Order: sequence, then C-alpha cells, then structure tokens
Amino acid sequence: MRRLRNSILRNCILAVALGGLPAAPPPADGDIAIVVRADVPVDNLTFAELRRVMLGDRQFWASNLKVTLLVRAPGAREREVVLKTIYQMSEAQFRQYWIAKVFRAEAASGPRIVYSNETATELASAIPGAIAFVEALQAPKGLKILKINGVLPGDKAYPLR
Amino acid sequence: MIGTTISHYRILSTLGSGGMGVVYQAEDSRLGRTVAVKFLPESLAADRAAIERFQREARAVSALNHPNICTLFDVDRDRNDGRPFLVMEYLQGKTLKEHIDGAPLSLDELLELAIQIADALDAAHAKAVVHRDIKPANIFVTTRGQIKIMDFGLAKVTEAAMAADFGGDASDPSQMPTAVFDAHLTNPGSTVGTVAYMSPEQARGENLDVRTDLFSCGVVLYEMATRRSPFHGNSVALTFVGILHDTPARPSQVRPDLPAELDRIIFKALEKKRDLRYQSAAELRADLKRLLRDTDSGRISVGTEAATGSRSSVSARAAVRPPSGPQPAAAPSAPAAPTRPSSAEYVVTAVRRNWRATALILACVAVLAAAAIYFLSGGSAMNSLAVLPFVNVGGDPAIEYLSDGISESIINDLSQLPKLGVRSFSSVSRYKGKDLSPAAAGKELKVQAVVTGRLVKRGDEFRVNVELIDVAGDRQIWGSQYTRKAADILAIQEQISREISEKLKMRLSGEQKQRITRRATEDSEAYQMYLQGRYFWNKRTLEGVQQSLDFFNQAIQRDPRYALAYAGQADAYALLGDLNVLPAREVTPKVKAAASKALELDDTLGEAHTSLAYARLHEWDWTGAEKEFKRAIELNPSYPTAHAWYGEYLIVSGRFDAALAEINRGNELNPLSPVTNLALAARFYYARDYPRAIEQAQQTLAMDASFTAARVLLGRAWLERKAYAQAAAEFRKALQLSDGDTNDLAALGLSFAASRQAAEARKILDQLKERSQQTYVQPMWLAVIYVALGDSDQAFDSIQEAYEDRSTWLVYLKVDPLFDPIRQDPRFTDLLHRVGLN
Repeated sequence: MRRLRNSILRNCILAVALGGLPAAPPPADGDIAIVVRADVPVDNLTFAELRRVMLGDRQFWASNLKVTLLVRAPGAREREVVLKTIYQMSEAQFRQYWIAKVFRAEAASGPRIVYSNETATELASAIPGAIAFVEALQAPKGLKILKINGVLPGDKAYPLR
Repeated sequence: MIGTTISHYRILSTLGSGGMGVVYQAEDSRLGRTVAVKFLPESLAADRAAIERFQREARAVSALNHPNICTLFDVDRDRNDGRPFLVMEYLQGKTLKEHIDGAPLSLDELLELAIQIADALDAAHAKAVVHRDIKPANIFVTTRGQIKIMDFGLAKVTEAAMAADFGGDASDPSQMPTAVFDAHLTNPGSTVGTVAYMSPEQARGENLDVRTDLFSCGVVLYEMATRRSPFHGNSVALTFVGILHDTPARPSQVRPDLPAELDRIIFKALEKKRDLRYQSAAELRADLKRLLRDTDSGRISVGTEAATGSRSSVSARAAVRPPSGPQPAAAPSAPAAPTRPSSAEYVVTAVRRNWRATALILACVAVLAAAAIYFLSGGSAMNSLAVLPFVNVGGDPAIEYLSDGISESIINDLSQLPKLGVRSFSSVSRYKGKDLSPAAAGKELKVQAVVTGRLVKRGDEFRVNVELIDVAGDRQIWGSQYTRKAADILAIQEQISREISEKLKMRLSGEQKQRITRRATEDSEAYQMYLQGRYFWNKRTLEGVQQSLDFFNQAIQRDPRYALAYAGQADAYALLGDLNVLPAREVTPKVKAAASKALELDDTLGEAHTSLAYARLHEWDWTGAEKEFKRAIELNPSYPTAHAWYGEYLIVSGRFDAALAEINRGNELNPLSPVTNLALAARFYYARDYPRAIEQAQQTLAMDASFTAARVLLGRAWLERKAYAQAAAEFRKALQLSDGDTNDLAALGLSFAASRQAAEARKILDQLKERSQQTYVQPMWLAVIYVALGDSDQAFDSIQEAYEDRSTWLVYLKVDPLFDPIRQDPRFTDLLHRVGLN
C-alpha cells in the first residue's frame, strides 16, 4: 500500500516536473535530437539560429556560457543528417570550412569529434554549453532536447531526420 | 684468482684495482655472458652490519635502470673468505680520467658527455640514491661514446663503515663529521685524487644530499674543460682548504675557446654553499643542453671576446664553417673587400677558354670523387641507403607516429651527408607493414644498404632495435639496441644517426658532423609533436593538413625557438593554398612569416628556404623564389620537397628540360612517392606530351589509387586527347574518393564543358557559386569552365577575381593548356605581364 502511494506520488512529481512533455509527440525513429544541458538558457532555436550556432557564427549561449559543438565522426548517421540539413555541405567542404574558420581566427577550434552517442551525451552532460546530436529515441533523460522552429523530434515539421 | 670460479662466475682476467677493491673480467656460466666482478675491501668482510648495509644499498642501486649507469647484476659473498663482491655490466672503453688525459675534449663532446652524466645523476637522485664519489675514475666512456657511471651507492657503504670504525653512528651521518674529516686528513689510504672531488659539506663531514654529487660533477666538468683540477693542493689538507675557501680560475681563462656560459654553469655547480648551487641534476642538465643547442645554432660566441663579455658577431660555428655557395647579395653599403678569383672561378675561366678541358676536368673530378668515396669507405663504396619505416612492434596506435617519425628523422639527418643518396621517407613508407625482407626492399629501392628498426614501448620506456643490412650480401653490418625513457627520444635518434654514419665510414668534416647530429630542439615533447605534424602533413589531405598544423603549433608553443617546427607550419599553410582551402592572398603571407621565423632561428635549414621559396613564387617574385630554391637544395640536396617544388617552378617558367632534370632528381630520392611521380606527370602534361602524362599519371595511381590529384591530372590529360568519357570517369572517381571536394566537382564541370554538355557544366557552375558562399572556391576553376564553354568575358571576370585572390593557379598561366583558347586575347597578355610571366 505504502509502495503504491509512493509510486503515484513519484509519477505526479515527474508529471509536474516535465510540464508540457506529455503534449509533445513521441520521438520518431530516425529523428535526430539536439541535446544540451538543462542550464543552457535556450529551449527553442529557429533553423537559421541553429545554423549560426553550428557554423560557429554564434559562439555563446549567454555572455558567460560558450557553445561547444559535439559532432559524430564520419560514417555516423547523426553526422550525415547534420551535414546535409544544417551545414548543407559535403564532408570535404565541412573540413574545409572549419580549417578556414580556425585559420582566420574566427573560431578557436572546430567541433569536437565524438565516436558514439554515449560519448556525445556524456560530454553534453559534462561540458557546460555543449550541444550534441543523437538519435531522438536514445536521447537521455537528464539532457534538454531543443526545439527547432518550435517543434520537437517526432513532429512532422521537425527538420533533422 | 685468475681461472678460479666464484659462485658461477669464472674469473678470466684482472681489469683494474683501486681503493674500492679489485675488478675482474669474468664469465657468468649460467647466462653465458661476460661480466665485471668487483671484490670489496677485506675490511668490510668482517663487519656483518656493514655487509648488510652494503646489500641493502646494492638492492637500491640495482633498481637503477638507466643507460648511463653501469648496471649492477648481483651482490654476493665469496664462500671461501666471505669477501663481498659485486657483479656488474662489463664495459669496453676507458674511464673518463683516461679519456681526459688523452686529447683535449671539444666543446661538443664535453657537453654531450656532461649531459649524460647529469642525466644519470638525475635518474639516481630521483630514486634517492646519492653517489657521493663522483670522479672521472668512476665514470666510464664506452667505445660508443656512452657514459656509464660506476659504483653508485658504494661510497655511502664504505663511508659508513669508516665512520663506524671511528665510533660514529653510521645511520646518522651528522654524527660523523670530525671523524670522517680527520680520517681524510690522516688516513694514508685517502688520496688527493679522491679528496679533490669532494663537496665542501662532504669535506666538513656534514649531512649529505644530492647536491654533493652536483658539486663533484662541477669538479669533473672543470677537469673535462681544462684538464686540470680546480682545487689542486700539494697535500690533502691544502686540497681541503681549496675546496672550502678558494675560487678556481675560470675555465675560459685556461682555455680561451670555451664560452663564458660554460664558466657560469661550472661555477654554479661549484658553489660552496649548497643553497646557491644547482638544486638538482635536472637543472644542471637543462643548462648544459641549452648551451649545446645554442652552440649548435651558432648563437654562443666564444673566444676571448666572449670571455671578456664583449659582443662578437663571429659564432663558434661560423668561425669554422667553410664558405658555402651563393649568398644573398651584400647590402650596397657594405664595404667591398678586395677579392681575387676563387679556385672555382679559375676553373670556370679555364673551361671557357678550352671546352675540351671541361670534359677532362669533369672526368678527373668524377674519377677522384669515386675513388675518394671508395677509399674513405674502407674499400667498399657505399653511397646509397634506405631507412625503412621502423616497426611498431606492439601496434600501439599512440606511438605509430613515432615509429614513422624516427625513421623520417634519421632520413632527414643522413640526407645531409654528401655523397650518400638516402631514399626519402615517402619512398620507403610503401614498405610499412609489408612482409618483405630488408634485402628485397633494398633491391627494389636500388640501394646498397638498408636500415631497419623495431620500436617497443613498455611503460614509459622505449626500446629501439636497429640493424644496418648490406643488401647485396643480405647480411647485418651493424646492429644495436637502445632503451630510453620516452623523454629521451631525441637522444636515440641522434645516437642511431651517428652510429649509422660511422658504419658507413663517411669521413665527416666538423660541420657535417655537427649537422648530422644537430638537435633542433632540446624539448623532446616538441620534437614528438613535430614528428606527428610531419606524419600528418605527408598525407596531403584536408584532414592531414589540419592535424599537422595543430601539431606544428603545439611544437612551437613548447619550444618557441624550434626552427624546424616553423618550417613545418609554413609548409602546412602552403598546403592550405595548394588544396584551395583558402585564397593565396590569405595563406602566402603566413607561409612567408613562418618560413622567415624559421630562418631567423636557423638560416642553414634547407626546409625553411624551400618554404620561403614557395611564398616568393606566389608573390610572383620569380628571381627571389629561384634563389631560395637553389639555396635550399644547396643546403639540403636530399630534401625531396625542395626538388619537387623547384621542379614546379621550372615548369611554370616554361623551362621544361630543367624541370625534368629537377623532378627526376626528386624521383631518384623518392622513387615510390606518388607526389614526386605526379610531378613528372605534370611536367609532361604542361609540356603538351599527353601520352606520357597519361602513362605517368596512371603509374602514379598504381602506387596510390586514392590519390585524387593524380586522377584530376589524368582526367585533364584525357580531355586534351578529347577522350571525354575517360576524363569524366576520373573526375567522378576523384569526387567520390574525396567526399565531395570542390576541386573535383569543378573538374567534372570542366569535362562537361569540354564535351559540349553545356547544361550540365552550367549546373556545376551554379553549385560552385553556391558553395563559394560558405567555402573558398578557386575562381580559376570557374574560369577554365567558362573558357571551355567559349565564354571569354565570364572567364576573364573569374580570372580577375583569381588575380585579386593571388590564386596559386596564376603562376601556371604561361603553360596551362586550358587557357590556350584565350591565349591570344590582349587581356591574357596583360595578365601574364601583371603576374610577371611575360
């Protein structure tokens, strides 16, 4: 009896804590979620803003919170989606872009390369301001999923897939 | 004693004797190796406590594993008379005392030996082992010039025993000052020679720490420098007075060719107060290394001017360096010294007078040179060598770069030798991981000798096994093993280089010897970063150039005076231009700045002159570029990049015959390098010899099918033969291999335009323009597509854009067949003029 009461209480707290989450569509297979730490002061980005972040043109979330880009290594589907939809570049162009950016001192470094979704989410949790891309179904609970143009993964209008 | 067997050691002969006992050469019958057995004084045999202390100490000493410390294998007692004995590494060579008594040591040798001594002390002190009796008689110089410090820890044992004899407490050295001091003054067994190396605190019998060894080391250094003791009293008492109170003459006063910095180092080691002395052997070693580096780079002035503190523009190296080749023109204001024709000028004049003399003289020179090489090499001429990539035995990916890097570094060092053709790294890298015998590889590479190596990492140590193999006889000429800490990788490379050259019996002049062993940095981490940078640079890919730049930058951060790292940085920037990552107007100034910085630090660096030549070429300073290329080749004739890039210079200048000779020279050094082979294909292409260009490009692709630059050149040659399908196939393959590189996409567009598929060509033009919004697109690609489409105005617009970018392609205008359709246009003539190509 006591266990049942605790379970109901826990579910209620979770529901309150998650706020509008029940209203969000379930993540669709193949959608790529953008994950950040809960303390990143952004919940939603327009696609143009997302591009600016990923291109290194916007390098701070807030005055004291630097953006750290985490991108999967070549061969991962997450990377293919990010390059095709956000960067709109080939692999070679992507490399060329970041070499030039660093050469011109427009960025201190290019995106950090990560070799698995687990590493991506671990680093996203550990590094303040980090932003990572993972299969929406694998997005961990502790990280915030950003909306793009007001929609979350699973929505028909969600662009990263 | 001779012929007897103690334990399992059969005594063979007497090696020497001294205050610490008699040393014998013996054979270890269990392991079948030759060892040295040292019996300690009989006075110790009766003292059980002393023996126990001795054994405890010996255990600590046996834990010292350092290449400059004589290894202690075993400690035991003779079953018959109970005398303790030590079993040690058997060394061949002579003591430092004997070495000093011979010819005076050169500054280089002095520093190199001193660094090894300091290194050994550092390793021992790190394990809390103090020698207490550092003196030339306890330091051995092997036949290979390696230092071995002997008798570590023994002085403590004997001193303690002596203190005990005098009634002191051996466990507390502070309890034995008077006894020991008096003992040294009165004991007839003590000699001036031994006392002369004592530190003041040792002489006073105070508690000792590692700094006592540093004082003794200072005395040894003084003696190495001057061949006399700094404290040479006629009696033990007077010697003590000298140690405690006197300041010896400066070494440079005794030997004026020594630098003042050496005086400072030795005097710091000889500080009476230990708090003012070097506090660690590492500190002493760092100063010695810095001096060696500065001496190598010619920055330390020597001689009486240096000793008196006056500035001298004549460096140690410059003073002995022979005049070398063409120098930059003197400033107009420089006073012109009266000159007379050099012997070379006499020869030239004579040759001009009689051309028949030319043939005769050249023939004589050739015969004499061949004879010289033959005789200098002891009867077997050896003038070609390949250093195969060292094998990373454990396959540890973290040290993969190191196995390549050591090989490459040795190649670079040996390439400095005259009369020795050393195959370039890119040639030999083909053999990496191949199961081919060294002799077979040597035959393929057409060399007489092959160097192979195996690298194993265990903990923080590297072990390197090296062999020099005679290709014809398939036999080992020489082999050696080096075990070093990771931080000592520089020493391994230097030692291997030197020993290989010795085996090749090249008669090196002083400067050549310095050049081969010159260390560009004393920071081994910086060196490792440089090696990693070169490793990635050699990949010639976008990713490779990015990583190489990271490593070169890190190397520079570690050692801001590391000239070679700046040359590497310049070369990485140059590749950014060549690969069209960035416009040349952004890249070339950085190439120039990095190359200039390298030359400021070391103006004898052929690599840096090559980088500067590249910058000058793309500044359209044609005269300056050629001068730098020639200087680079003069300084480092075996540097393949210098030949390849100078060959390119000659191609774009339209001097195809000279280019062919230069590129062939590069290919001799690099017979298996796709890069130099492609340079040959390019020479045929720009000389309009398309069949041979195609053949050569195909040969290049047979070496490396993923080399996209070769596919693009092959496609361009097919286009000139109007074989459009073959051309398009090559461009598509390149595009696929490069993951969508813009250059390869543009090449495909060119093939569409040339084959009259205008719509397809324009689609690609649109894609290129779209790409140019985010990443650099070489405007010359647009220009050549427009030329092929017959749109001259658009072509000239793009060329103008390229001109503003100072595109690297512009230097090809004079010879590039893609511009033939607009070559007669006055705008083209004007362009050639502006680039300095008319």
